[in-house]
Amino acid sequence: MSTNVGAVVQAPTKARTGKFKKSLKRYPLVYLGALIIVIMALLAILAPWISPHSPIATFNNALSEQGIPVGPSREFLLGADGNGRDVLSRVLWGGRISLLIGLLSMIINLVVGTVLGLIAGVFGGWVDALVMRITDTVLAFPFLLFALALVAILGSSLWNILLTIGILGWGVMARVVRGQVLQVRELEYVQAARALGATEWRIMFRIVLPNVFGPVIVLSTLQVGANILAAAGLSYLGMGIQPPTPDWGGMIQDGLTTYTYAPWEMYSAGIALVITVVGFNMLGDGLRDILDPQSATRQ
Amino acid sequence: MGAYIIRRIGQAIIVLIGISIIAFLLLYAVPADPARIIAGPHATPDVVNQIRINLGLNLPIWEQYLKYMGNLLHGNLGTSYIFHTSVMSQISSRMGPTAELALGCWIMELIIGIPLGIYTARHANKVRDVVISALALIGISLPVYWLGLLLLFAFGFKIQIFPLGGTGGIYYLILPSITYGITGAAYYMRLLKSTMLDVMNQDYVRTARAKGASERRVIYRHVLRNALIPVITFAGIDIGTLLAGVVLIEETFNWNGMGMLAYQAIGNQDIPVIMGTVLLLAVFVVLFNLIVDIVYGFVDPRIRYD
Amino acid sequence: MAQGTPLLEVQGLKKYFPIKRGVFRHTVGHVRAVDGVDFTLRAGETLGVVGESGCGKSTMGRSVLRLIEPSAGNVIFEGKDVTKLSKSQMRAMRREMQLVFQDPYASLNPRNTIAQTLMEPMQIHNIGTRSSQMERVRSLLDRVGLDPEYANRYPHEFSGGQRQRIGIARALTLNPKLIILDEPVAALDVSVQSQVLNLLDDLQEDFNLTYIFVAHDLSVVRHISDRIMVMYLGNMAESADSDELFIDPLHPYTQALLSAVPIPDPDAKRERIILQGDLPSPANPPSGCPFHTRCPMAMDVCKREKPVWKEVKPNHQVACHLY
Repeated sequence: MSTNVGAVVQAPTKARTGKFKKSLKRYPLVYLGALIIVIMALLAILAPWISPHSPIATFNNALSEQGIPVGPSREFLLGADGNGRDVLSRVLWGGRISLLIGLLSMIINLVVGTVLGLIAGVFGGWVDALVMRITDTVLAFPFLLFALALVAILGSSLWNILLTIGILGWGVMARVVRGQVLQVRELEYVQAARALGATEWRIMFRIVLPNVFGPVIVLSTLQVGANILAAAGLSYLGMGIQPPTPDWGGMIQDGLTTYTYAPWEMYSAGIALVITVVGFNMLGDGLRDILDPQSATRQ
Repeated sequence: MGAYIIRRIGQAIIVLIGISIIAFLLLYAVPADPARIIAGPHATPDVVNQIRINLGLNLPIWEQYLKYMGNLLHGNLGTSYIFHTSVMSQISSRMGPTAELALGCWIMELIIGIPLGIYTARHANKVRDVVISALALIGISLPVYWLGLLLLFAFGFKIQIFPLGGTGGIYYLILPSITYGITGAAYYMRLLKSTMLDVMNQDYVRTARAKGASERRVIYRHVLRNALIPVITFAGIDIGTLLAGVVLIEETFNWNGMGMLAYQAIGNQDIPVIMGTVLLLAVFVVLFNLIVDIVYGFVDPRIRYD
Repeated sequence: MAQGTPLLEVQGLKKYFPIKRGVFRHTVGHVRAVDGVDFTLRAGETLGVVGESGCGKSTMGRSVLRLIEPSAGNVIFEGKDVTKLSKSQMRAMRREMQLVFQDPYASLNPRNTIAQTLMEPMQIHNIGTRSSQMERVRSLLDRVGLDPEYANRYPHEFSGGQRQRIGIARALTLNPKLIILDEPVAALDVSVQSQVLNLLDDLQEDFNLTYIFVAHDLSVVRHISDRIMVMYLGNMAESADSDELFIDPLHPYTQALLSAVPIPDPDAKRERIILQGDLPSPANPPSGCPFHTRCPMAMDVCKREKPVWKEVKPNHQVACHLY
């Protein structure tokens, strides 16, 4: 008998991984997106070891006698910025900040949005109405402007930036989770579990949560990209990460002054930013195709 | 329908009150001392205190809020800390340019997005579709200010066909609109493509084909008409997204609108101006969502009973 | 339980769903899905409940189990009023009364294997160890005519009939006394229907089960039911022993339903009664007898007065002014 129990426990996981691999092969977006993210993450994590220079050190030989930054060369692979710093090192280090803010603020979005969405969907009635009005309120804020004002008032530390983005950006997540909960609760097998005497908690954790999982993963992935863009936007407007700490949005702002004669800083930072965000958007779209086969056939 | 509209308006008002409370609390209560900011670092405590009393900052926060809201009902958004002029007059002079910009950006999204949506739907799963879809993915991943700067450099500086920023007529509007259009069009394209593919599988479209209607007629008369409804809905909601990020375009293109006003006010910690712009932009967002919902209620009676 | 004592007594069961309208979503009326149902069921018996879709028969079944909270009435199971139980008492009570769903596709969780689905009831009620639960799963599968080796498969790997067997096995897991069968064969192919009906019949004998069999088709319930109750618009129209109802249907509505049942004898002649008009809305039921708008024998009194429920022949009740 014990061998049979073992079979019962193992078989589903095996069957699932088999199916998972097959679907991954059908959806190259997931592979490509994940690959981009892994590469960008590795570059960011390894920045202290692979950067050719310190990201904040200024080098005399990086500026010409007229103060013009040198272009890409053997010493400065992506050229130098207006202060004589190595652009490549700053791009590598800047990835750390962007990914950190993107991921951590997404986690705040995720926790707040999921918890509120679940509460609204599960309890219903006036609790639902209240939570949804709060969600509408958060969604109606002019996001970037308000984040800008908050960071300006609170001070632009890393924590303030990611808290602000995290706390203003959970609205869509809450709506999606709530919608999914309402949909799942109407399913007949939920009724079946209730008829068997399952508690609402059991239904919540065994049935509702696994069903909410898929859309939440898709949304979280897309949210990382969106949050990275938002944080870079704050830096671009001068209210984000403060120089000399390297940050892509700040580098784009910084590169503006030297753009017409030394455009490499702006190109490098912008391209790094775009590649990272493309990675997350690709992965998110790809996962959506897998989890929602109907939308996949449309693509 | 009447009850639905009234209920929806009621919800919108609740949301607006919620926005005003949250914005007021965060903007007025969180900073340690607005009076100190106004007076500057070298002012004597007496001066700071006097400013505090003049501005009513010594009152409890809820009393300040009620006073603010009372004034708001009379169209008074307070006085700028820095310029000592009415916030309302400052904002109203900037509303026109922002509306112009938003409209330009929005139209450009549609001009780029809708034809591409139709094109990719008609050629779904062919190489051109895959290429355009990949470009669309890059489009939505572009930071609008970075793209704006590249376009400014290319078409304002190198090839001088557009101005290097500034507020004005159509001539000044084209480049920022194209910039925003490129980053936003992909959403319209994807939405239209997927709804068109849905509609193309409907029986009435098959019937039209079976009757021998030309492909052109099928697409434009039967498919597009029905596929555009969700696109129109999205367009209404999209205005909100646009206004929420308008500050980035205005700053990049030096466009003298509400975003710029707010941006400068944020730099000056001029809280009444920040509060006024945030509130007004939120009003527009809520208003467009409301219009979309009401229009949708007319189109699809089912949602009224939600 | 000795024959003769009732297992289940349902008295004045009602379920009204509020209709909410207007700005403040106030209640402007009620959908009378179940508008007063009484019956008594002895252990080992089967009650067939028949009516058109929308007549409230499914709502009635689910109200008995309190999957839908009844608005009024008592449901007395083995002497205990189920409607008065607390939530946790009700959960314990669910071991005794189970439900089989109409749609064998929607009622099984697609993410769970058959073993997981069948073990769930035992996990919920903390019965047995993992290996004894698995033993039970295998014997249940065997009992409903499925290979126990299928335990590790997912629902999508089965046909509709096989899925319904799984649904029945799930209902049996906890050894219930009462099972409510909510159109258990309506979604199946005709060829599979009789197999499942036979299985239900066998199971009833083996485990002394009591059934409430909800169906929209009289022919389906005929052989399995001891008694049949015909419902119309949330009200009881007629109730009689199964054979009696087929031999001597009293209510014009029952007669109409019966005329639609095919007869295997090609020489038998019977007039087909076709009802005029649609089923009225239970939100706004007709005055008097709810059936008068479609009744071929409607009289003036039918529009004014609601017929009382009366025993016209021994063990044969009807609500109709004709009697």
